[in-house]
Amino acid sequence: MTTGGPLLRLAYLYPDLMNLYADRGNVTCLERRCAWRGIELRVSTVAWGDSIDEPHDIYVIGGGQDRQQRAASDGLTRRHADRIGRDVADGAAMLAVCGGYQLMGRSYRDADGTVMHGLGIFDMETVHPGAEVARCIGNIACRWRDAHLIGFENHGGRTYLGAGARPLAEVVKGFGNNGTDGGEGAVAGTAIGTYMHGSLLPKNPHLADHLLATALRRVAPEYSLSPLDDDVEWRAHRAALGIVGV
Amino acid sequence: MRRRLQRAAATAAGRAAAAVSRWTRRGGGTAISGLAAQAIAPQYVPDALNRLSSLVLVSGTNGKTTTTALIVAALRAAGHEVWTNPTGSNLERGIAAALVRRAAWHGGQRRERSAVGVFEMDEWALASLLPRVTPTLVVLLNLFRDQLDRYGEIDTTARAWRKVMAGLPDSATVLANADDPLVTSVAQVHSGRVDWFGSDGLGEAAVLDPWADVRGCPGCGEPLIYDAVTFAHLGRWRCPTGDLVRSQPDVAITAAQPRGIDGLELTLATDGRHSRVEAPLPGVYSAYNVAAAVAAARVLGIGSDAALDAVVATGPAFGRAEVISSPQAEVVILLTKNPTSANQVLDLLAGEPEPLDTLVLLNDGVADGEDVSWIWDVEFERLRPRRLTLGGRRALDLEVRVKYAGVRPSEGDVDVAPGIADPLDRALSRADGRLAVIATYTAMLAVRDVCVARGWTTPYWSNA
Repeated sequence: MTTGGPLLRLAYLYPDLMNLYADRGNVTCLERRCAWRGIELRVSTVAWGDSIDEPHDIYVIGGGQDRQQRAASDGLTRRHADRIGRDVADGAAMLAVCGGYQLMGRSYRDADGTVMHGLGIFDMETVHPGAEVARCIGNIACRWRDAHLIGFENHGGRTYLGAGARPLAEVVKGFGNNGTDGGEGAVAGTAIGTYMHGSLLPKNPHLADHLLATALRRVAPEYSLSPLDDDVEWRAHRAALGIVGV
Repeated sequence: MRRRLQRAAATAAGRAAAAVSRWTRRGGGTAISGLAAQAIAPQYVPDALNRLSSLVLVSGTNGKTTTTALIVAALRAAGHEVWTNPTGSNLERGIAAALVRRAAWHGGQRRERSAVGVFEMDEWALASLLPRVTPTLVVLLNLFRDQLDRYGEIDTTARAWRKVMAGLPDSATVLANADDPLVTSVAQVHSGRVDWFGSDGLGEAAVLDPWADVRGCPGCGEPLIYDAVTFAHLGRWRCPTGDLVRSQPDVAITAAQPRGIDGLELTLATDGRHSRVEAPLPGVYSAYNVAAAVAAARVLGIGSDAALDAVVATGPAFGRAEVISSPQAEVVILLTKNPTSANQVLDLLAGEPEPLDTLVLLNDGVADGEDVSWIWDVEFERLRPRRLTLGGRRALDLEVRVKYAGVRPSEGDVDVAPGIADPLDRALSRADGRLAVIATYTAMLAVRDVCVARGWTTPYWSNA
């Protein structure tokens, strides 16, 4: 299909392993927002054993159960580290959520003490304090730029950022990275990681468009995103904020 | 004697609590009376269950209430006195409440000894209760992703089940779903008799849907190979390393032809015989519940013909494709709890000859799951409603989901109203004959409450 608009190539990483919280809603959201604007979004789903032969402009990965996350860590570090690292360094956008976010850091030590290696896109480490320690579960609201982000978090691991990464947002209600330093998620260059699902993008259209704008800067710097009628999305966003009292 | 007195006191306290609860119209007293009894006698439930002549426990993510009702019907048709928890109150306190209603007031044991107990149990409540009781039969239906904020990952549930299976005495029979690899990995831990129900020759696609929960072998982790998928991760699967082997079902579904939301034509093969029935229960998922009930009856010594007759005569349980007549329209309530059950319900609606007026209600209570993310794994893209109304506490989340799914009602625009009674009234006022109400757990109860208040039906606990 030719739309006349620019072409964006999105790699959806490991939907077979990492879709615990219906994070594919983020891909659906980007697909629709591109279609409404005449941007051609070509989605390739990358399964565990696949190779990524071409460069991509957006990478999306969701959360998974412990066991699937171990397999994902193995696949990412052995097969896909070079390609993803190169594209992100070259300005490709990334949205990594929950378990996928943890694997984009340096390492994740899970509840059993198993250490999984990550891609190191974010300078951060994640440690699970043990199965007997309460998980971080609940609705979460954050400050992001001049607005809010709203979502739901459910994670055992606590993430600590190093000097090379900064938090994506500031927690207003909820736990965020570790429940203590008030930071949520991470930003490194054009990559974004977060614990927020919900799915995250549909109720946060400003973040969805931020990702698209980031990816477009690389392929069509002269193209500017046309505004959409996001009344439904913003009403849902505000209602969800209301539920957590923000 | 002292124990008997404690038991009698616990029963009396439970009955008093239930009476107060009903009198103050707070509900059926299904949980409160159980809590009262347990407070006085902490071992109330295991003690009472172990005195029954036989004990059947039914667990799994989807289908517990229906399968329990079907097994009860088969047993009652065969002349057994049956104690059960038909209200869906499936934590230990819910079973305590069911026992309070049945127990002799003086704490004696005569009545228990002639009765068969058939109880549905929450997945985690089963893991906690099983080491304290000696069941005749444990029925394991399926494991699907469900309310992750409350239950956690299904691998964790499966691990807890395997642990209690290892301690289950050989006198107990386990009946398990051969089509579910995760449930298979649990049942195979049991050292006693294991019977199986499942499909044979059903399902065409051999590819899992993107929202399916189990893809790797629960043993070795290698991707499973499916020769046929019925729905979700159920079907005829194989582990490439032979680490886990699917069992041949003792009761097999060999054909299942859905009849929209009204019912299902299915053929079961048992011991070399094929029986074809029309069940008043919709969807292929109901075929599994029927097969489980027939297989359970077989373990309990009831012939499959008698069991099938009883099943066919049993309508759906409350809120599970239950039909309630209102002056404006026939209301069909379809409980949905997770991606699997919601996608099955959408399958039913897609099988209707004409688009139906549809009301979708999404709540985010503890019993629904506070996390509503799962709606993004529900294929609303397949919904083709006549008119569409959205409601519940998270109606606006639904509105976004439906927008991104591109749902276009054939009549009018999507109508959105928070709450329960208001969207129900708006949907009813414009409904043409029949209204399908897709509702999460607390929304389903709330819709029923509205129907009860208007005299269209009776409370769900009134037949308990």
